[in-house]
Amino acid sequence: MKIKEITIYGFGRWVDQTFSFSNSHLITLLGNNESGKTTLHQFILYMLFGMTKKKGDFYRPKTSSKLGGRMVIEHSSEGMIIIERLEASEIRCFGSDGEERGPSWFSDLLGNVNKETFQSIYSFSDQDLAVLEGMKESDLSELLLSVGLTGSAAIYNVEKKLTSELQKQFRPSGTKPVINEKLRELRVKDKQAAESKQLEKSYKEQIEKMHALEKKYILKKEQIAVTNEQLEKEKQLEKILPIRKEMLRISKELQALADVRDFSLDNQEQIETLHADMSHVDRELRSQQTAIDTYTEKMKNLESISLPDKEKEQLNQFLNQKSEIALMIERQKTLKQDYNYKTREIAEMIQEKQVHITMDDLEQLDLPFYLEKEWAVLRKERESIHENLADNMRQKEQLIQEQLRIQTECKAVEKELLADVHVEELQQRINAYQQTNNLDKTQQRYMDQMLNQMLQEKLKQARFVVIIGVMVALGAALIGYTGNMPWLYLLSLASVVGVYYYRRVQQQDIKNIKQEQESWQTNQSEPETDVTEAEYLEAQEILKEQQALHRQMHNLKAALQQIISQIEVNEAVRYDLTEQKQRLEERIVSQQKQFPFLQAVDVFYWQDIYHLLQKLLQLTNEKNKLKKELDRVKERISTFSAQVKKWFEQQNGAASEISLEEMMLTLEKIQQQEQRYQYERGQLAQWIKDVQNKQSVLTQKKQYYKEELDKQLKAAGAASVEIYAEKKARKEDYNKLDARQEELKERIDIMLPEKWQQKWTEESLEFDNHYKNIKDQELALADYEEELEQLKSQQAEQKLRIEQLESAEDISLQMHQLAMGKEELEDLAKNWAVQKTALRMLTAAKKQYKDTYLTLVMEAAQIYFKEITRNQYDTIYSPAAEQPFQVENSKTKQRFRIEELSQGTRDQLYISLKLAINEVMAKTSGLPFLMDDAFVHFDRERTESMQQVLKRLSENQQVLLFTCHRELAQAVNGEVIILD
Amino acid sequence: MHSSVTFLHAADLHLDSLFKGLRHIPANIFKEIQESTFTALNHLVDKAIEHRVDFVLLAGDLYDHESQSLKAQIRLRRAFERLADENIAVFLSYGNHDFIKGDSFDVEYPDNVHIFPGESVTSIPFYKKGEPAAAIYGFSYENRAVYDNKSSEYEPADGEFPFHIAMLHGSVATNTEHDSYAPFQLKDLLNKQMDYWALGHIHKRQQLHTNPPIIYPGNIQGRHRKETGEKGCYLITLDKHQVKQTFLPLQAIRYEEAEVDIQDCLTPSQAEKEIMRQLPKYSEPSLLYLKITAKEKETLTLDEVMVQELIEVINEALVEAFPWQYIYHYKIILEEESSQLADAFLKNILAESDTAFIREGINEIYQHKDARRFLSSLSDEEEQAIQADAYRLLNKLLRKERAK
Repeated sequence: MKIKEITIYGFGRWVDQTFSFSNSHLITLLGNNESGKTTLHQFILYMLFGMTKKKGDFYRPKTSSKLGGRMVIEHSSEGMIIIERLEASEIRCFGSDGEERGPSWFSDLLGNVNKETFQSIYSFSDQDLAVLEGMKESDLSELLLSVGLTGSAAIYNVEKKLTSELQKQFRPSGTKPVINEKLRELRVKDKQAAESKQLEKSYKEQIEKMHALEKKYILKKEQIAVTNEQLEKEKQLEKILPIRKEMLRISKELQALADVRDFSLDNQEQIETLHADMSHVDRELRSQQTAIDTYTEKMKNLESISLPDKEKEQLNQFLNQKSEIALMIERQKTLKQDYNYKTREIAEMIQEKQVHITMDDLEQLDLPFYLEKEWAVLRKERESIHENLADNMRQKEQLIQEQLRIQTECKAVEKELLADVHVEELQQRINAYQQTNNLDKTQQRYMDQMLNQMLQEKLKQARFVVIIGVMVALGAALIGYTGNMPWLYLLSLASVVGVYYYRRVQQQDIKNIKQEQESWQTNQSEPETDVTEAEYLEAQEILKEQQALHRQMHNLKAALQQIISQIEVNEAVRYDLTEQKQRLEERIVSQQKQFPFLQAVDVFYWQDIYHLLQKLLQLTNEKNKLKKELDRVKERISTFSAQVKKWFEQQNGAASEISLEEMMLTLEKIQQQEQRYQYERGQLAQWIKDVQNKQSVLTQKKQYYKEELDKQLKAAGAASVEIYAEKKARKEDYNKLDARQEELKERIDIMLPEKWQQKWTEESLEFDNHYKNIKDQELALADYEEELEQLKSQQAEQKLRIEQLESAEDISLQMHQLAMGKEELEDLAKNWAVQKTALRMLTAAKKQYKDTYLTLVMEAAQIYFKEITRNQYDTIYSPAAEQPFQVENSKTKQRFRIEELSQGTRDQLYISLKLAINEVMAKTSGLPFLMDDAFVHFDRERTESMQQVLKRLSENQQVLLFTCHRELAQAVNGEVIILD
Repeated sequence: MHSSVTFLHAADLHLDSLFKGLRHIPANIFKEIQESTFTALNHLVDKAIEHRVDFVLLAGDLYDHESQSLKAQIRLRRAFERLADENIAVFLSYGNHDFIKGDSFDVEYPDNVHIFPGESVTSIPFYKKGEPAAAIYGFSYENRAVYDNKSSEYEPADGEFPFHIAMLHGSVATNTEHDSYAPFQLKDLLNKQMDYWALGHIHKRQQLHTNPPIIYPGNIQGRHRKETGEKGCYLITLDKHQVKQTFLPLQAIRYEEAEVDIQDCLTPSQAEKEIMRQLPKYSEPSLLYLKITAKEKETLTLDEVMVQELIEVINEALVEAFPWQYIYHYKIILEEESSQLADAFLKNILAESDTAFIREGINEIYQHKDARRFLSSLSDEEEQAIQADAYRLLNKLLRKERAK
């Protein structure tokens, strides 16, 4: 890149000034002080990089308000480009084609080198060189990066971003950043949780406390129980005081009776029993003797009053028959009743049915078995004859009526009939007419047909009636036969007759019709007469009527004939019936003669009479049987009665007129008496025997008792029963007292529980002692109870505390929240760690970069430095850690820090570095060097060396050298522009 | 002699133990989650009563000494009291988390609870209506760990017992996933002629053998991302001829992992709808770990803030649903990321930044006097993840910055 032309619109002292540079790369701008060299240098920087408004105002010309200018630059690849700036505004760029480009385009052309970088490498002035003075390692690497790497700004930005991001997240001792805040929150939570945990941990302690309290409570309770017992004991002892006093008294009394203490009362009962038994036996012996005497006397009395044996036997015999006789008497009674009943029944029956027969008749009456049938037949026959006769009479009347009716009808018809002459005449008239007028054959045929039809109908009718009639007749006969109803036979007969009659009438009709038909046909052949039509029609009419009348007449006659014959038949039948009736009457009379009681009875009831008689006969038989039985029974009773009477006469000497029953009762009484005597005697004998036995046993017993008693008394140490009794009384007193003593002891035992019994005898008998003890115990007890209550409430409190701990679930919640907080922190920390690592990686990458290029730069710088210092120094040490640059003398190998060097050497070092960086790093080589009186501190030799370097440098890059030293300007041998 | 016994077998209740991976949970469901182990315990008691079991076996780790929760023990006591009211016995052994010598609260349990007293195997008889019905064998951890193989100590008790049931809190000797406590070999157990092996310690439900059944019922409530699905206990009926086993789910809340794909979504609202649509549904409340497969679009930038907002919006809706769901964690899987990786400037830095390098940087917080109290130290995997994430982030930031 080469600056070809500079046009200044206005900048510092320069207004509307143009500088054109030749093709030479080394251009010296020579001018005295105040000639505007530095301003021009600043202008170029301004054109390339712009400037702040403040600085712009500083360079605003005094004579013109215009600030700005433009530059024509030759670029190796882009060609001639123009840049222009006005005021502190953006740069305007125009490419070689004159087209305007964006500012970044130009920035790219500069290789993204910013003003600072440019100044530190390409711009040389007193001040610029001084910049290097404090340069540290990091600064140097920054510098290298910005010069050497396109896009170093991006790296820088990322670095900045990450740093600020990290700052926002965490600062080791900050409070605001997110992680710090989270940490604070966690610390608080952790503290709270730890406190809660501490509280929770006290649970164990609390439980232990609870157990301790429970133990105390139990102990206290036991103490109370003990005291209560004591109290109770004292109270009881107090209560038993009177008893104990009584016991004391009794023991004294017992002392007095001590002599009988060992007197045995063991045999007391035995001795007394024996004594009592002996006197009892004596008493009994005496009483039994009197009993024996009484019994013997009674025995004698009984023997004197009882009957002799023979009499007794007889008596027994009678009494044995007694039940039989009683049965007989009973039987006699029933038989009599039955007999009377039967007799009455027969009489009643005869009376009721009004049969003319006596009981005697009945007894002789004989009714053969066939009689019933015979009488029944008679009745039936008579009935049938009567019925037939009645039917016959009815029939006869009907027939006569019918005959009369037909006869009157005949007379009526006869009156109507014309004489034959008239008929003939009429016939002739018709025939005459027919001769003139052809008789209509159709009419004839029609007539024919009509008649045929009538005939057919009649036949059909006849057949139907005959069938019905026959069926009725057969049906009636059948029913009559099966149902045994003879009158139906008559109905059957009548229907047969009816049918027969009807058939006859029909046949007559049919015959008439046939005749008519024939006559109709013959009539046609009659001669014809001359007659008018009216006459003809009239004649025809009359003829028709006449023919009809003839037919009717004929029919009537036939019917009459039939009736007459029927009447004859009827009469013959009636005659037969009358005869039959007479024969029957005869038979009836013969029967009535044989059985007179039938005379008053109609045949119709004979059969019933028969049944009645049978019944009566049966009853009579039964009555006779009863009679016989009755007689037999009466006989038996009278025999027995006679025997008994006789026995009584023997006994009492005189026969009394008493009934058999009374006698029997008396007999029974006597027998009972005898039996009682017998029993009593037996008993008495037994008793006497028993008593005698007892007497002997008692005597033995008495002996035994006596011996025993003597033995016992001897053993008891008493001479007699009386002495024994006295001793016994004293012993009993003793025993009573002793028992009382025992009883009192027992009462105490009952009142005092077992555990206290041993001691009670030792306790004082003073009442006051107990009273005091009781009061003491009661006071102590009250204290204990109070303490117990306190323990109880403490226990309750403790329990509550434990329950609170148990139900304090927020501790768990705190722990979980803390855990979540930790997770969140973990996340934040990881996120931070990632960013931090990223930043560190970036830094490391930069360091790598620096490490790679710094060596190269240093080597190049050493060469420049050595050349410029004319081999005075050959080594440069780059800054490391806090160490700034150092140089080494090539000969003495001494190292010098920068501040130890002369100003000139210092400047030479910086220039060497700048040239080295340019040589090694600059990618877009060819940025122009701006050197503003950079060599003022150089001696002549080194200036020459520098001139050599500049010459070499300007082979590739443009070098603008600003100076006030004419000789230097001439020495570098380039284009010289003099500013003025 | 009774010919059958019915019982519930549960283990690893871990009552009131802390949940892992939960962040920023809304208060209402947080309470529910915090209660969930107890809810599951209540379900267990309900099931015991409902099925009128003879007894309940609890094979260790009923609560954690680490959690130090009085509530856990009190609730346990209440549960036992409920069972006592129904005349249901409880046989329990302590495990590595609730070992006897641990710092537990001295809460007294009712008389229906039979506890195996020490580290040697003992037997406790179970009587049904006065008749011996079963002998239960087991042991409790006295200390934090038992390293011996206890299976040899299980010997049938004297007396006529129709069934022999063994409880063991431990794991198969080869198991590397868990602490190998009371290690045993399957064949050791099979040699013991037990009718049932009630195991505990492994939180994932599994059946090691069918006849006789050797069963890990798993824990009764999932507590972190890896304890997914149904959790519960086994209902076992032993009789002379057969064994009936039924798994009864008890969990109050499910932990689940779900994957959704929103590669085709063009806008955030589409993505929201699509995620909602693809979420699995359960009959209980569930906590979801969501893996989102996505692709960045011009209209859909998937940076941290954006995705977090999206999930927050979805969670707001899910929490109100019945049963509620909550995405407690998510992971975005972006398709093209790898191709865009690696800025030239950073090309050598990944190899350079070793564990020591990372640790040095993050110690500022992990060694911070306040922070380290609450932060668990990072595992190697976590450090590696941080490294990878940092590298990815750096690349992403540079990419963005350069694009400006």
